This record gives sequence, C-alpha cells and structure tokens, in this order.
Amino acid sequence: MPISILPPQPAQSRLPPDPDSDHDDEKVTLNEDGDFVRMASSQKRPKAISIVTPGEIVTSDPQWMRGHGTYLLQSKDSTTDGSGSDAEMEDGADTAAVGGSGGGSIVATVAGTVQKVNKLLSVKPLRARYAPEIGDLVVGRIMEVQSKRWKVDINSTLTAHLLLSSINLPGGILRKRTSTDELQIRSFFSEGDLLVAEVQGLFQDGAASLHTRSLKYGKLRNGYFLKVKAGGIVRGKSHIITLEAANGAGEVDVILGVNGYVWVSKKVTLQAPPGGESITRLEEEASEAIYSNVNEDIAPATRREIARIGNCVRAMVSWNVRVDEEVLNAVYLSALELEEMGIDGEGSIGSGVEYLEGEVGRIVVLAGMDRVSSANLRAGGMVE
Amino acid sequence: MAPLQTSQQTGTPLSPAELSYLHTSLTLTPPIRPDSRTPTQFRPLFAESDILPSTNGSARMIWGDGGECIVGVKAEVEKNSISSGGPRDWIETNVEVSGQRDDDAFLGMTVAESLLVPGSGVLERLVLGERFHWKIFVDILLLTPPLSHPATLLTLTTYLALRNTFLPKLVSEAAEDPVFDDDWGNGLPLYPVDRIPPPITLLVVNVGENIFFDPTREELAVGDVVLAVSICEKKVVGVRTLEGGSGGVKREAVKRVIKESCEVAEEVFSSLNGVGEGD
Repeated sequence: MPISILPPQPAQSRLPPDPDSDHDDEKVTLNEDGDFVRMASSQKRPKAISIVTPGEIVTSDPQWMRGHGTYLLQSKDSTTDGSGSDAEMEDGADTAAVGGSGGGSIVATVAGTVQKVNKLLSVKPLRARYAPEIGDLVVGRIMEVQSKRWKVDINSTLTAHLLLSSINLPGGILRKRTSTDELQIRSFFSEGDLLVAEVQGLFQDGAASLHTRSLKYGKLRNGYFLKVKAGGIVRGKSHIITLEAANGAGEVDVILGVNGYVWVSKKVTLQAPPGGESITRLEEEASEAIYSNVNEDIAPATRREIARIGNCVRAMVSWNVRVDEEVLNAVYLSALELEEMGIDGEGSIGSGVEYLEGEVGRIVVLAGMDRVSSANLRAGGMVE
Repeated sequence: MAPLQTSQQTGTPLSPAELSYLHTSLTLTPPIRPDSRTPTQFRPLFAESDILPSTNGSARMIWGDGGECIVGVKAEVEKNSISSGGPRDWIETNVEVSGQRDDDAFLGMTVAESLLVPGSGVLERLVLGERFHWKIFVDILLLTPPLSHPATLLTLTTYLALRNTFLPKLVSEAAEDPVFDDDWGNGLPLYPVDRIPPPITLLVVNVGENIFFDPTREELAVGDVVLAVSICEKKVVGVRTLEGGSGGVKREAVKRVIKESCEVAEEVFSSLNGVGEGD
C-alpha cells in the first residue's frame, strides 16, 4: 500500500495507552470557566483531559500555591471584572474567600494540563522546548563554530555552548589546549556534526554548557539520527541502551538524549586496551580517530534493524509511552513479530509493515506494553 | 510545532557521517530507507475536505511529521477585458507559508503552472457567456511547513480542494449578465468526475540506482537528483529538478522515474478520491 490517506482523528485518540498515566485525580475538578469547583467529585469528568490556555484563571482558591507554568494575579479588581461565575460563587458562599485573603487567582501562562502535587498547582505544557538541567545526557548538532567554542543545537530555547576546553583533545587526557587547537577547531567538530554530551552547567540565562570529557561522549558515527518531541524522552537511569538486534544484526546502541534527539547506531566495540587501565585507554582513544567522520562497515542487516529500532522509538513517543530499556526491547520484539505475521499472513499489510507510523505503530506499542506487563506479572509470581 | 524545525530553517547541514550512512543505505539493493518504508511508500496523510464554509471548495491535509496545509478555493465573476493576460489570468494561486517571507515565488509557481495544463478544459468551464468569466482564487496556506519539501503536500491538498469545488449553475443566456441558480445543490463541479482532474506533483529522489517517492528531509539531502514530477490523470505533464541534488542522473533513471510515477500516481489519485467518502 504505497499511500494511505485517513480522516483526521480527534485529539483524544492520541491519549496514552499506558496504564501509569495518573493525572486524573478525581478530587479536583474545573468547570468550563476554569474555576475551581470543590464539590465536583460526584460529577463525573469525561475521560478527555482538560486543557488550560495562557491567561486562563486556573483557580481563585487561596489554598493553592502556584507552581511552574502559572502566575499569581494579585489585583482585586480582577475578581470584579472577571466572569459571572465569580459573582455567583461570592453570593453563593458568603465566605468571600475569592478576593478576601489577598491571594488573588492563579493564572496559567502556558497551554497544558493542570497538575497538582499536594497544594502545589502547576501547568504542564503540552509542547515545550527542552529545559536543560545539569547532568542531562543530550545529543546535539553543531550550529556555529566560534573561536574558542561551539554553539550546539540541543532543541532548547537557547543554543548550548561547548567550550574547546571541555572536550577531550587528541593526544591524552590532561593536555592543555593550545593556540594550535584554536586554529584547527573545525578538525574536532564543524557545522552539522552530531555529538553526545553532558550538560555541565547552566549560564545565567538558562543556556547550557556542555562537556564531552568522557569516553562515552563525543562525535557520533555509524548510525542514524532522529528527532522526537522534547518531552518524549524522560530522564531515567540510563540513556545509552544496547539492544541485541535480530536477524544477525549484532548489537545496536541507542542514545536517548533527554532533549528528544535520539541516535541509533551500530555498537562499536573498543579494541582491548593494551595497558588495561583506564588512563592509558583514554590516552589511546583520545587520538585523532575520535573526531573522524568515517563510518565503519555496517552490514545491510544492521542498517535494517537500526531503522526498525528508530521506528519503534518514534512510535513509542508518538503514543506517549515512556522510552526505557525494558519497554523499548519489548516494543522492538513486537515489531519483529508483527513483520513475521505480516509476511506469513494474508499479505494485506505485507510489504512496508516495518514502517511504524499510524495504526501499525499503535498495535506494536500496545503489544509491547502487554509484553512488559506480562513479564512483570511473571516476575512478580516468581518472587512470591 | 514550528519551533521543532530550527535546524531546518537555519540550514545546518547533516554531519558527514550521517550523510555517508544514509547514502550507503539508500544505494543498497534492496534499499533501506531510514524509516523502513518501501521505495514507493508514502508517509500517512490525514485529510478532510469541505472544511471552510465560506469557500467554494476547501481541503485540509496533515502530514505525520507535522506539516499541515489548508487550501481554500473561491470564485468570483469578472468581466472579460482585453488588457489582461486572457484566460491565463483566470486562475490565481497564492501560497502563504506561515513564518516565512512571501516573496519566495517558487512554491506558488509549482502549483500554478501545473494547474494550467493545456487542454485540461478547466478554462472552458470558467467561461460565463460572452462577456463574463469566473475568476478562481486558490489560496494555499501552509500552517506548519513539513520537515521535507512541501510541494507534494501543497499539490495534494490543492487537488483535493479543487475536486470539491462547486460553482453555482448559470441560468441566464450567453449574451445577458450572468444570473445564477440559488440552489447550491445544483452547483456544477469545477472538475467533473469524467473530465481531466487537476494535476498533482510528486517528489522523487534518485540515489544511485534507486528511486524513492515522498522523500524525507534526510533523503533529499543525500539524493543525486530531486525531481518534481507533475502528473495529470495518467500522463506525466512536467518534470523539473529541484535544488539540493548533489549529482547527475542517468537517462534510464529519469525514464524509470516517469514510469513509476504514473503507477504510483494512480494509487494516489484513487486514495485522494476516496477522501470524504468514508464518512
């Protein structure tokens, strides 16, 4: 089937299929005006998530503290020229807590869903750029080369900086950077190059400063870059995953940048270090070769699996499933299974079933989730 | 969605390692596209027609990568005048890409030129008696530019909108001032089913021996040559190269592009014609 043109679906159908999405706490409900309605726990809320828009009053109840994505509207006249429902509330309940306690109302500054943690009320944006935090593993692309630093696109509001002094210079670890290095800065990274790095620090304005002073970090080769939305990859235990690919493809590395940039590549085994100690190895590795732009030989089977794994990541993010090692593995296995079935079966989906956009992706992701939960059940049973 | 596309807008190139990986994958036999599609497979599209009540015909199309396009077709009665460029001016196309300067004429040209296929018979249907004619305004709004080249998205949406365009029925005589039937139900389609439909433009990229339909941005970057193939009914009516190609192309490759385009276009037409029938 070379082309499929579908009718558009309502946004609800994109809701996460995962069971651990728990932002429908029943106690708190908002009516259409965005006002806080206390007794509404009896009134059944539809399954659709309610969204607040910038400028919308989330609540005027003073008991809530404002969190991210909101601000406090202090002025008193905001309640008088506000909507009619405020007035109704006031003559309904003579406590007049709305304007009385000097609290004002909490107004959303971003479009998103309301989240409540104890008494802290915040709005989680539907779509946001990546906000760097120290220690994050990110994948970035060099956008600009300056005299002593690179500017790196990490999907954030500001470009990140990578200083010449915070990369591993060729020729050993504790080498000082010299003016020669400055002159040949493009021999390390030039425009368009991809790299994996860690956020070392944040500047005053929120821009990140990166470093690649580890063997895990540095220039990316032997693989394929893909981009998912920034919130799609959540911070987890490990962001560098190695999958055992099927069909004799060997091992495939997946680097899940917290910024939503993902790198899927063939696993490159480092040669056994002659000294065996990490210092010597670092010296060995930090030669010119780490900044090479030449790929190794990658077998077609590996390329096919790299593409498939990339599709799995994309499908998982588009169906709001948390990407981590366990789930990615399960979804990948389901994708393989689906392809087998597609070839054995009627062949109606037949060719192109490896492409995991749309409905096929949903099936695969759901199957993967099933696989994870059944594996968890089994593991639980064994413990008992 | 727009902020996601920074690296595209600033034109940061792909890294050499990436380019080499993609190029090798795409030159293999069978080729491996980075998203595992088959060479002729398109990314899924979401489409609906008749979404704007104040137009004569409209359509909206969303690409999986976030590209979204809305087309509205409006018709106006205009007096024939000798001073203007004649029937060529009877269809006016306007492409607007949100967040971009509007003096980039190229995209509009692609669509507009391909709409005026000689002999398609559209212009004859625009004639209203002796002194008047319809003037068609095709307004194309690209809400979020897709990550790849938007020509396919634009022309497919335009096709859908034009196919759903109805003009009020003329009830007056040829010599009179035009008077129309009040009943919209009696409206005449601008492109009747049995006539030549509006053309579409498909993008084809050639890498080595292989050709690919609906290329993504990465595939465009490594392509030897990028061709925009305009197809009307079952015939290729135009082939043009787009900038971005990095090599030459063999004559056989162009031949194959044309042959396969016709086959693919047939399926594209049939699924486009199926839009709106399901609901």
